[in-house]
This record gives sequence, C-alpha cells and structure tokens, in this order.
Amino acid sequence: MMEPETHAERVSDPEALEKALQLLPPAYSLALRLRDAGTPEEVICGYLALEPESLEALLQVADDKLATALHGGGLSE
Amino acid sequence: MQGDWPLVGRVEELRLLEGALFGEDFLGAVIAGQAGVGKSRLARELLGKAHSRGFISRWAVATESARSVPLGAVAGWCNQASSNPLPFVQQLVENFAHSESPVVVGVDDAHLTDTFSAFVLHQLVLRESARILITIRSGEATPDAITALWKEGHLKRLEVQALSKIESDKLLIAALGGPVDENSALRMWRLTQGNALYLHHLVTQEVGEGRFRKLTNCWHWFDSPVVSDSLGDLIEQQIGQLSESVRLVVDTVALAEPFPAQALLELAPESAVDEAEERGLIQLDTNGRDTMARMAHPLYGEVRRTRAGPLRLRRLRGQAATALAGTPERGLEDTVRRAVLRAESDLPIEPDLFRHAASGAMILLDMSLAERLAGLSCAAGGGFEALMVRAHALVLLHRGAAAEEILAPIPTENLDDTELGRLLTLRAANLLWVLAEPEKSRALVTEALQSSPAGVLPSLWAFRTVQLAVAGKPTEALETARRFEHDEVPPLARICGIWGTVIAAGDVGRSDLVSSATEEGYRLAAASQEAAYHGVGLAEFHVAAMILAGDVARAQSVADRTYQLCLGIPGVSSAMGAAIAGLAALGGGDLATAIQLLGQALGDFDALGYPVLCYRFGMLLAQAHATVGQLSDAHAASLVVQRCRHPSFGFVEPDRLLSQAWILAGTGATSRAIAVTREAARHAAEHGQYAREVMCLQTATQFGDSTSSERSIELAGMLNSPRAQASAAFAAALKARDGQALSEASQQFETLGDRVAAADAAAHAALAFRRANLVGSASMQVTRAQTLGQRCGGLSSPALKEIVNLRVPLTRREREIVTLVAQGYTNKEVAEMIVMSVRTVEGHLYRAMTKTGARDRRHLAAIMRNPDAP
Repeated sequence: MMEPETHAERVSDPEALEKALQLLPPAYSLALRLRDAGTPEEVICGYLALEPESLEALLQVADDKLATALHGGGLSE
Repeated sequence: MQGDWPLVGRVEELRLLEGALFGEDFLGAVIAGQAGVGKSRLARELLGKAHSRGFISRWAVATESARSVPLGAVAGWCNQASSNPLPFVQQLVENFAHSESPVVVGVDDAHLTDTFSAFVLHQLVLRESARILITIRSGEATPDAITALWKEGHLKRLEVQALSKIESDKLLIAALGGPVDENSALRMWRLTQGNALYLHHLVTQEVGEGRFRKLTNCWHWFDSPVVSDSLGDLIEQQIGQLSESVRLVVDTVALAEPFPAQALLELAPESAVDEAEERGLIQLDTNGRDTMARMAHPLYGEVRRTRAGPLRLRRLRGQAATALAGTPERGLEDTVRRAVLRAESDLPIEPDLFRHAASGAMILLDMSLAERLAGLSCAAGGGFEALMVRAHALVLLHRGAAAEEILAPIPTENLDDTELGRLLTLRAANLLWVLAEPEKSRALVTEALQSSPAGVLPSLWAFRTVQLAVAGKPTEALETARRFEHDEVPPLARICGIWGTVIAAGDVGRSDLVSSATEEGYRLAAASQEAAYHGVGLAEFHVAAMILAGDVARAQSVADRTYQLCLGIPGVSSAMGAAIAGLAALGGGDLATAIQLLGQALGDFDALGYPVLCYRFGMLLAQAHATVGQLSDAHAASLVVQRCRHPSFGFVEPDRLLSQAWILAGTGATSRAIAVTREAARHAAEHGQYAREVMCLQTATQFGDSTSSERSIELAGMLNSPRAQASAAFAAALKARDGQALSEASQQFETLGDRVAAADAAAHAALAFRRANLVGSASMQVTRAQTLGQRCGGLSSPALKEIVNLRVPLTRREREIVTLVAQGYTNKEVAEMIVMSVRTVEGHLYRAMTKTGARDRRHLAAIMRNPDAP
C-alpha cells in the first residue's frame, strides 16, 4: 500500500513541497503528511473517518494531485 | 447557470476510477463522499467515457421513496419485471453476460437501494456479467450486499473530497465563463468549503438576485447577502421562494420518485414542471415510452420530506397515488409503489389494489410488506384472496398462530373447489411445518378427503404426499403421488406434492423420479406466484437425495447454484442457500466449509425464528463438528436440535441418530456409536427409507462394524445407486479383512465424491494390510487415509485415529477403552458408555497396560498419543 519513496523524500525543496501540500484539499494533504510521518494505516483512517478499503485510493489520488501541484504550480483543470 | 457545470479539479479522481472500471484488477468502482461533493457528476463523466470505449450502460437512481419497493431501483433494466425475483436476476445476469457489447451498470445513491436491487448488483459482480459503478453517501447505512462489493475486493472505493480553494476558483471561472474577483471567490469558498453543489446553488441564487454580476471583465459578488450557512437551509430557502405549483411538482417527486411525467402533468401545469426542471430541482429521463421525473439531487428530496408538514405530505401522497392510477403500470413494482403511497396518504384503502400489491410483494419475496398490504386490504373488506395472501405471508414469516387465526374461521360454504383446495393446503401446511402439529394437519386432510367435493381431492392428495414423505413413509407417499394429475392442482399444493415426491423418491433410491419431479418443480417455482418462494426448499430435498444416491458432484452443483442465487436475498432465503450449500459440503467431506455454512445458516434461522430449520440443519452441523473432533461445538449444536425437535420431520430421524453416533465416535465410544448407527439403519429399513439405510450401514462400516455386509449387498441389488454399490463393496471387504478390496472401496468413494468414507476405507485397508503383515501396503494406505483426512479439513474418525499409531499393539476394544480412560472417564463411566461390566473394562485395561508396558492410566494415555512417551 505505501509507496517505497514518498514525495517528501523525493522533493529536494521542502518549501515547494509545503506550498504544494497547502494547495490540496485538506483530507489529501493530511493523509500524505500522516503517511510520510510513518503513521499506521488504521490511525490515518481514524483521523480521516475513512473505511480501511478507501485509504489506498485516497492516497493514490492525493499523490497524483500533489505531483500536479508540484510540477504545474497549481491543481489540475 | 442551470444544468451541469463543467467538471473541474477531478483529473486524478477520474484517472483512478477509469483504472478500476475498465482495468483488470477490479470489476468497477465505488464513488463515496458527502452530499453535494460531486459524486454523481463524476459517475456521469465515467459513463460517457464507457460509451466512447464501446460499452453499453444501464443507469439507475436509488431513492428513499423507491426503497420500500422490492427491486425498485433496477426494475427498468429487464423486461421481465412481473415474475419472481430469482428468474429476473438470472435473466438480467444472462442478458448482460451475453450482451454483444460489454456492459457498465451504474447506480446512483446505492446506499438507498432496496435489498433486492442490492442483491442484483452483488450477483452481477459475482458472475462478472457487467462492470459496476455506484455512488454512496459516506456514513449512511448501506445494505450488506452493497458493502460487500468493496469489502470483498470486487470494486475499488474512492472517497471523493470537497474541492480545494484553487479547484473551487477554477470551477467558478469555468462555470461563469470569466475571471472572478479574488475577494468574492474567497468569500464563496469560505461559505461553501469546496462543496460543488452548494457552490452551484449559491451562484445560481446570487446571479439570479443580481448580487453576483460581471463588471468590465470580472465577476464580483456585491453586498453581504443574507445567505444560509448550510446547504439544506439554502435549498429550503430557494424552494420556499418557488410558486405553489412548482413546489407541488418538487414535493410530489420527492415523495414518489421516479414519478411518471404524464402523471405529474395531471397534478400541475406544464409550465411548473418545466420550471422545476429548468431550475435544476428535478430531472426528466426518457426510457423507451416512459418519461420519469426524479429529484436532481437526493438532498432536495430529503430537505422537502423533513421540512414539509405531515398533513401536507399525506395529502400529497394521496394526490400522487391518484395521479398514478391514471397512468399505465409497467409492472408489479408500480402496483406495489402505488399501494405503499396510498397506505401513507389521506385516501381510503382500496381493497383490490392492496391485495394485488400484496401478491406482488410476495412474488418479489418481501413477505413483511406483503403481510402489511394484505392486512390493510383485509381490513377494508378485501375478502378471501386478501386473507389468503396475508395468511400465506404469515406462514412464510413463520408466524403460524397468526396465520391459523386467519385461516381457521374462513367460511367454506361459498368457496369454489380451487379456493377450498388452496385454503386447506395452506392451513395443513401451516399446521404441519410452522405450528409443528402433524397430527392436526393429517386430521384436517383426512377429514377433508372424506367430505370435500371431487374437485378438491387432487389438492388434498398432493398435500397428503408431502405429509407422508416427511413422516418417513416414502412408499405410501409415492403411491399417493399417483392419485392426482399435477395439472389439476393449484400451485402451492402442487409444489408440496413435488416436495413429497422428491423426498420419498430420494429415500427409496429412485433417482429417475427425483430428476423428473425436481425439473417440474423448478419450472413451477419460476412461473407461479404461490410457489415462487418454495423453489429454494425444493433444492434442499434435491441435494439431499443426490447425496444419498452418491451423486455428490451434481448435488454440489445444484447447491452452488442455489447458494449463488440466494446470496443476499433478505429474509430466510439466503440462510437456506447457505444451509443447502453446507449440506452438500458435508456430503462431499468438505468439513470446514460445511461447518462454516451450516453454522452461519443456523445462526440466521435462530435469529429469524425458524425452529423447524434449526432442527433440520442443526443435526448436520452437529455431525460436521463431531467428524472433525470439535466435540463441544457438536454438543452445542445437538442441544439446539433437542430444543427445536420437530415432530413433523420423522424422515430425518436416521440423520439425527447418525449425528449422535458421530458425537459418540468422537468421544471414543466406538462400539456405542456403531450401536446407534445400526439403530438408525433399522429405523430407516422399517420405514422403507432404503437409500438412508445404505448411508447408515456405510457409516457403521466406517466405524469398524463388519456385520453389515449381507444387508448392504441386498440393498445394492435393490437400489443400483453408486453409493449402494460402493457401500456393499466396502462392507464385504471389511468383513473379509481384505486390504486390497478395502483400498478399492476407498477409490470408489473418492470417485463418487465422499471423501470422509474414502479416508475411512483407506484407514481400514491399512489396518487389514497391517494384520496381514504387509507393512509397505499398510504404510501406503495410512498415507492415503491421512491425506484424504486432511483434505476433509481434519477428519477425526475412529478409523483414522486407529491408524495414528499402528505400533501400539492393542485390540479395537482395548483401544476404545483406553481412549475413553485417556479423556478422564472412570472405569464405571466407561462401562456405562459402552454397555459392559466394570470388571470387563478393568480386564481390558490390565491387558492394555501389560502389552504396552504402561506404568499407570496416565502413562497409558500418553503412550496412546505417542508410543515413545517416557
């Protein structure tokens, strides 16, 4: 479920990462921050009031949105 | 401003959902999220993509008001809406599976689906007949069959989030067609928090009021408007501003969606319908000839239903029901829906409508709704038919006393022969199965046979057939079955006659009769209202008969089909499906599956109040537990059987005794187990249940009884079934202590699908080879028996225990006594259990200790577990 290397590890500019995270809807940025901090999946689900089966898809979308925000300077059309 | 806004900020969500919907890993997707977040918009976009990929699609919207109607959400997907749900589902699944183009099926607000529509979706997924796309509101109670779609990994679930500030800004710009002042956009964002529907409403309202307008090239939001701080309030505020006729349109659709546009036009002027559509409050969908109105968003309906006064709602339901009466009905669902609306309205009850609707609900397998609607019809003077439908629903809900209160006082003078036959059949069935009064049931039929006109007799003979069959009198049952022409009998009595024929034919080993009768029965259940519910019961007797005959593979195939068909159907049907699959698993020696399915079914039967089914299937669960050595669970199931003992089920008495025998065998009291098994065989023989007798004698042989050979061979000559042949060969081989013949019998049992018997026959082969000092052959059979035992899920039979260690040189009797002693029984208790004097028990123990060199009882027990025990 978890990616071997998170965006936080890949992005060399922490400021750009923080800016990009702030552009995301709160649930996505929170999920990514918790995951990158090594929070167990069940705890992330608890924070976000998610069913366990939803976490993988949510993180996948959050990762994609973060990549768009980082590379495009904004979110997708 | 009205209509769909552009889809903005959802590229990543669409990518993921497309992968789930069209890729290899999932069969579709669940779009979950809060109200107004844009789930349906995403789903519509995906359906568009499906079309461009060559899929055809079916779309349904589940609604609060259609929820009370079985199959309400999906009825439009198939033309066969008027028969019972099982063939409907089958046809739907087949249609989609064999469609020329691949199919995507979508359900909006699937948390509101009635349980039968949920069942349809589950079936489509299980059979991979279509790709599925559903939307769900997060946090809402959802039918189990829907939840299972993602919990079991068939669909990928995405929790769609509200838009971010930047996404919300982009949506505004795209919808308005120009840039928006940053301050205005920020205030909009703070209010709507990225909820697309809320934003849509707010912009619509503010543009309409002229407060949000374009200056030079940029949109500005002026004033500090009085805006509601919740979406619900905002909707209410907007709807409150509508004219009375538009509100009437919106409220009617909120109460009775999907509502025919034709009927809507009888309630309100066309301009009001148009305005409601233009304002985006309702939408009109055309499907063939019908144009149906639905709420554009479920939230609108919720707001109106919770905020309109109860008197207004009752009045509106009445108006809606009246308007519906003037439009052609498309199927049973429409009749049921109209009756449900009318029941909660200010209109008087129409007895005929409610009776028809109650029959419809029964065909749709919703017995509680059928009982309620028929009750209203009865109270309004619905007459004989209404009473019959209500009583039948009560019988199927196992509320026998209430059914008898209705049936017993019905005057019979003015009934025609068919009506009288139906009344007597239903009453006799209620007495026999639900009220557990077989004598009264029998007396009712006996008296009626003497006093009724000739036209009633075929129904009575049909019911007498099943009475005799369940009483364990198969020969008389089959003779009785010849006394009526099936075409002359109304459906309920006819299916009862077929049940009786199948039970009796199975008991006497007439597989040909079982086949022809079941074929007729399944056809009847698919075609008839009265018999619809009873097709599942027929499958039970069908499977049992095939197991008795030794056609385990076909039994499993019928059981699998029934299980799949019943999975998720509300009420007792899904538990019956599990129980039948458990019966087949037990017959095939898949003991873990049998325990799981039978345990699940028994829990459901108990919870739903069906003691008769607890009795029938409890004994099978007890046997399954005992066969793998789970004795406390076996005892618990046995207690349920004792508590629910049903006097009408004499035909399964040998099964009950066999389950007791397996429990005794599990405790190590093998000789007592053999005695009980032989008692079961005697009981079966006395009742002419020869196929059951074969099963009992086979079990006795499995336990090590070598006295069954002669009778088994005789039975094999009579029955010519695969099981009778294998059992006779097994019994003869055990009597002759012929290792080779025993190993061949084991092969025979494996071929016919009975793994438990195959393992036991191999174990006896090992013991016979060991006695003949053929160590290599013995060792091979030990391996074979143990492998088969493992494949059964941990078989723990006496024969398998005996071969655990052939190095301990004890006789069978010594081994039995030592096994019991090792479990902590005293010599006196052992003596009582195996019917022997205490002194003889002591003698056997002494010899066992001498042979093994054991120091005391505890050491002896340890040696039994491990011959090298110090």
